[in-house]
Amino acid sequence: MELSKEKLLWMYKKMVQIRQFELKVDELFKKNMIWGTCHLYVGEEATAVGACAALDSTDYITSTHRGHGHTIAKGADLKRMMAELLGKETGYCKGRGGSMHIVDVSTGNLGANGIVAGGIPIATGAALASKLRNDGRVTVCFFGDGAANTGAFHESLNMAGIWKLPAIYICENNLYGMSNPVSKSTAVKDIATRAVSYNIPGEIVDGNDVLEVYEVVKKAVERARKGEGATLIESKTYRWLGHSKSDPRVYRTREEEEEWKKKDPIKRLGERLLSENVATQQELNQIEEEVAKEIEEAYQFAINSPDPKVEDLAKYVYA
Amino acid sequence: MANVELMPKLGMTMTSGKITKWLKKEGDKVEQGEPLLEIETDKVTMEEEATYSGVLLKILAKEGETVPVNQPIAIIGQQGENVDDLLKQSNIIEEQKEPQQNEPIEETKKPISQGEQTSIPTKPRATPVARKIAKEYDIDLTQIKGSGPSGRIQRKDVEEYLKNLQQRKLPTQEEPKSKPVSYTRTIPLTGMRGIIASKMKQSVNTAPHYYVTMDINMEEVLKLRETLSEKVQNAKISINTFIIKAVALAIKKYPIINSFVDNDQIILKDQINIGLAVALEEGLIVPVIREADKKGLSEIAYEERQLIEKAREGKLTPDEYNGGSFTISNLGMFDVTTFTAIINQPEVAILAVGKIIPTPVVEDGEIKIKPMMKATLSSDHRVIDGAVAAKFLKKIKEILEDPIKLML
Amino acid sequence: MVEKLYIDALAEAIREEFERDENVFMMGEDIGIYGGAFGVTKGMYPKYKDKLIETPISEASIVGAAVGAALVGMRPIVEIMFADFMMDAMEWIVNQAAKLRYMTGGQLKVPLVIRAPMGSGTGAAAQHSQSLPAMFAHIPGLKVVMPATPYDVKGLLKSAVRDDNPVIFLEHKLLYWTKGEVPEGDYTVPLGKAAVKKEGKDITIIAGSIMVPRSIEAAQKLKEEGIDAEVIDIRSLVPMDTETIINSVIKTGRAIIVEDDNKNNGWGAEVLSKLIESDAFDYLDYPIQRLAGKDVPIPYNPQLERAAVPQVEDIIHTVKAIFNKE
Repeated sequence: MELSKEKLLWMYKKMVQIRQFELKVDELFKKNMIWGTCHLYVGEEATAVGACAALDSTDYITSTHRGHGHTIAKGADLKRMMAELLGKETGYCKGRGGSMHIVDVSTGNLGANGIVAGGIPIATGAALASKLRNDGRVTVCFFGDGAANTGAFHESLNMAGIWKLPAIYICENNLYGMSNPVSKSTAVKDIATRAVSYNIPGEIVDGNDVLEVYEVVKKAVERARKGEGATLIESKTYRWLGHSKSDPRVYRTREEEEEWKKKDPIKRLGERLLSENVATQQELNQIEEEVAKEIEEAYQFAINSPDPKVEDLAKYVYA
Repeated sequence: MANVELMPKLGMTMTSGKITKWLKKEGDKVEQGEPLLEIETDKVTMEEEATYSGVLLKILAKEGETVPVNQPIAIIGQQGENVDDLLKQSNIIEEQKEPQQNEPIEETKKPISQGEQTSIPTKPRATPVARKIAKEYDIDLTQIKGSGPSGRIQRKDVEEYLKNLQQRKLPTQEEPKSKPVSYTRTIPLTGMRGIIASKMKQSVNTAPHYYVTMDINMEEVLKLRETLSEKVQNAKISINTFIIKAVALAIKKYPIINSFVDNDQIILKDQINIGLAVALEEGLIVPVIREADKKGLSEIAYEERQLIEKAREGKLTPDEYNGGSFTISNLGMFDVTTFTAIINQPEVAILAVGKIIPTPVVEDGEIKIKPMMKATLSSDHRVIDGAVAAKFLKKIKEILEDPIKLML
Repeated sequence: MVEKLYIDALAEAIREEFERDENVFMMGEDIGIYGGAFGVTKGMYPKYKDKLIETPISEASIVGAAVGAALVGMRPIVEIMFADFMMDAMEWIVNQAAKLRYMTGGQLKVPLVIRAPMGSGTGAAAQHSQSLPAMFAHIPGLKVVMPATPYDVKGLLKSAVRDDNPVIFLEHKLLYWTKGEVPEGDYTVPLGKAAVKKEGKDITIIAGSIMVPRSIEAAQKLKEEGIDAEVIDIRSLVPMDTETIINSVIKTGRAIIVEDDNKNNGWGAEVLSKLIESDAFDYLDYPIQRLAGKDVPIPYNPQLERAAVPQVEDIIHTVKAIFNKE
């Protein structure tokens, strides 16, 4: 492998962080400590981590309602994330946003978005700004298979095509838009083939292989930085849990879920690191333990943080 | 296990329902969905179906009773089942039930003003700024005549009033500010105003008033009036003429209406003298058409015109406005549709008549537009009971709806 | 001072803001060599090629992309060809632009101006003539202005561009070719400040956009009838300058609100409610009247179109009725 051990272990750790964070959130949700709903990223970790591994810290991303993974991969602080989920004043959005609206400007994360396809034009605009200012940044736009069927997808990718914007549109195709399978919602088999319409390259990657995601996104980032325009990447993956916390998963079989769990992206990278002698089992175990500690610290930080004051209800309303 | 049938809510605004008829009797078998009883609400009468199947073990509310929504009305269960527990529960509730209403549609609301039109609020119409100034200067707004739309008191009315006050106050000077300034422009409760004030107060204080309203189809009266005006020169018969005559004839049938109270006696009068309330600038007066039952329509019409003219000119002689035995007040010309009047004592009843309005009514299963008039009888309950009032009003209705009788 | 057309004053503001701040740019359909559907950017293209981003017909993504550019520090001005077409972009106006700053606890800012021509009187019929300020004014997080004069359009556009929040900037089409005094060079008109356009003591006419010149004309004619009306240009619906309005109504004791958009749930109802809730209530000497458009889509036929929104004679008529002079 060409990648440094450091980078590979970083990828491993990020994926473990996402996995453990999401499982902790699931636990807290069941204990009724999290308000509203949550869309968990378990099983899809390789896409966020592979893509963000190809970015500089100054590059932008836009995320989705299933945004915890992207946010962690881009470098967010787990403590402030957990605090936001518990609605605390110390959270990223000071408890005003919650799960679907976590934003971390310091890491170039322009935000999760509660509206399907909400981030697509926003990413397009950020990329337009980079082009106008010639600042060399690229924007990665994460969205799901459902968003690929909205008008905004078409409008924005067309703009990115005509203006050759430094944008990378990553469609996380996890096979279902809530309950609706892609085969029923989408006229083409591969969403990546739609790139033809916008005169940009379209790539398909194994979304459970973090290294493959990394390679493909890296190539797209290089094109974008050179001014050669946007890329559409379809990352085929699977969410292990339900769409949201209220999803009984009646639209898919337990067998299908088991098949996909065999392609666990964390296990796959771990096995590769061991077989290619990049890391030892002990090192990997150590990472798991470190992360467990971080998650517990994040939880302790969040639970001991103050709630926002009701008097401050209208704070951050300027109009 | 026996079940309790509750008074159902049959409409958004329904709070209670009156049971008009039980379609099953105790001991009858009932099937769920089978008509069980008839309920009258403020709007409709409806057949209500049984919620449960079984035997109607106990009827908890009799026909004619009014029961609040969600209160028990019957128990349905198995033959021979013990329902004592359920009865105990519903007995408690039964005590809370509204009293049985035998009186026909008797209104309980009290007249709110001392004037004749009790439906018009006494609070003066005034704009916020007029009120504010009036409050500052401690002015009684009822003393001011409004120049705005519908008599609304506006800023300039209060200011003019204040100016007048100040001009008048100049000679006396230094009057303490706390003294209500409105005293200087008091309209004295003397003369006609004084008489009205004391008579109306007396009436409200001594006669327990209640009110009965009836819709009267005036189609035939209007037709007859048209025919008469076409065929008889100078007929000039007003709607009031018909009403006066109809009332006089109805009184003949119910002489108790034509009475007065003297200490502990009710004295029936033999003459039927119908008074007609006439509004004047300074108040109102009631000229009397004597023995109206014995006079023809054109005679009544003639007298009526003479009396009203004299009343407006202030030329009525006391024997033209004294000695009435029943009064009619018609505010139809002011677009009033319905109102309640205060009894003109020593009389024991008064009829308040509203405007004739084209109104959709159901006749022979069809909706037709008919000229309808609302007549409200105020009665002194010491003398006249609800049923009598209703029958008397019904008689007037019958006559006016078939006015050819008036010609006899 | 020089008299200028409203449209020229607007263009001047855009050009001066381009020069002042390199982050200011404009997005919209046909705004390049063509100069925009109403000619606002006419003649700008040769000099400001890089500032005028000509877009495909993609209202949702025009606004969405402008939001994205604003989030990373640009100051976009979006031109939507007709205010009616903003309906296509409602998601990015309402769910994104308006909410992002709040829901991120103030981390994000959306310095964005969305300009659009609105209103009837050109025979463009229902889908090109609606006035929608009230719809936007209802959304927390949006500022809404509707300048009525050349002076205000220049000063308000500059303030809108310099504000860190999304501003909906509505220009009545019939105002584009009206003239007024406009100073040379840089000046701003603050957002959220009404203007007394004519002083008077008998009644306050509160108007917005095209209804301002109509109200001034009506006030001049009313003067001949002995009624001295004060005309207030509300200028900005959000934030709203209630102080100026309340003080005027306390002075006059009477108020009429004149709106170009249709009456049901219109912005005049908001003004009315603010007046009633305020100290002005105690000074009212007549019920506050609202004169607004009829609750119909704007019709095509010129007579019908004219009847659908208040005209000068309607304002005169309504005011005279208040003074019992009809």
